[in-house]
Amino acid sequence: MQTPEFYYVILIDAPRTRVWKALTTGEFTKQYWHQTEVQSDWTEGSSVEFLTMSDDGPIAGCIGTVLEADEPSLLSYTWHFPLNPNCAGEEPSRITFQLIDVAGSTKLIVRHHGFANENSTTYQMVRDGWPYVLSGLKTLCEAGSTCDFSMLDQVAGT
Amino acid sequence: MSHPDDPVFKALADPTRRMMLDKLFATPGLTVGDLVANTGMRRQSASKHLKLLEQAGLVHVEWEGREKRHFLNPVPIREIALRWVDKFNQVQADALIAMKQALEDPDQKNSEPEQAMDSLPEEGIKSPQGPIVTSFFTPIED
Repeated sequence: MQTPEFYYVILIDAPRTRVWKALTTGEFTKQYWHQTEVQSDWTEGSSVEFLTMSDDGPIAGCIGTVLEADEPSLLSYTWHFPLNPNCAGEEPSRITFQLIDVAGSTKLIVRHHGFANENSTTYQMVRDGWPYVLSGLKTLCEAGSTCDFSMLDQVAGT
Repeated sequence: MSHPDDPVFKALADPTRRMMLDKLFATPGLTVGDLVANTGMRRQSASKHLKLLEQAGLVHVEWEGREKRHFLNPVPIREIALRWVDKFNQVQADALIAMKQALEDPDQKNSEPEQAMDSLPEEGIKSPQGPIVTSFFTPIED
């Protein structure tokens, strides 16, 4: 029996550089990714933290290690929930973002794999969450170009 | 007139294809052989269905050596649902904009300011949408 894995595919009407920025910058992830701010220097072997801001300071509910970062086409890191007692003991799973240029827009393929087995709590926790996160990402990347121009500048890095 | 969502609706309209999506939801990464097992369906027919699902973006294909593995991609279905959720929000937003205009520009209907203020509760603020402010500011539960 193979261990479970998912693929999610979404077309985003924005250049890869903008999608990359939205995936790797805390200021943007907090707008669509369960209000968590991602933090990393995005070099191989570096840590990745998804921070939730609380009264007692930031809490890293999800952590990982960068496996591959090839801006703006490939990003891969491990994924682990250290604070949830049901899955803190599980081996980290893996996420890979593949950003493919399609005539100036972006085809984003997300692969989440490396779960221990079908009963893995991490697997159960993330399986239904991805479409919501990706819809938010798409809206942020696309609406940024028409509604909030200050954001467009920051996202596009221009 | 065709719309980008049309292939999704077409793909979902068929019970066999929905059954295949159910199987892929339960077990990601099945091959054609896995999908036809114990169904009495022919391989060729299953491949045709898969092709349609793939074109609609509902199935993502990965080659593993010589094996073609299939994964359910739920994102287009989520997008379709959002389309109408957004539309609902748009109605609320339009109602709020209309109310704002009525409140800010009473002179449009009445030349005397006092008279305008008197007439507002009946004409200006009433909304056909019911309690718009409450629903507009309540976050949609995922």
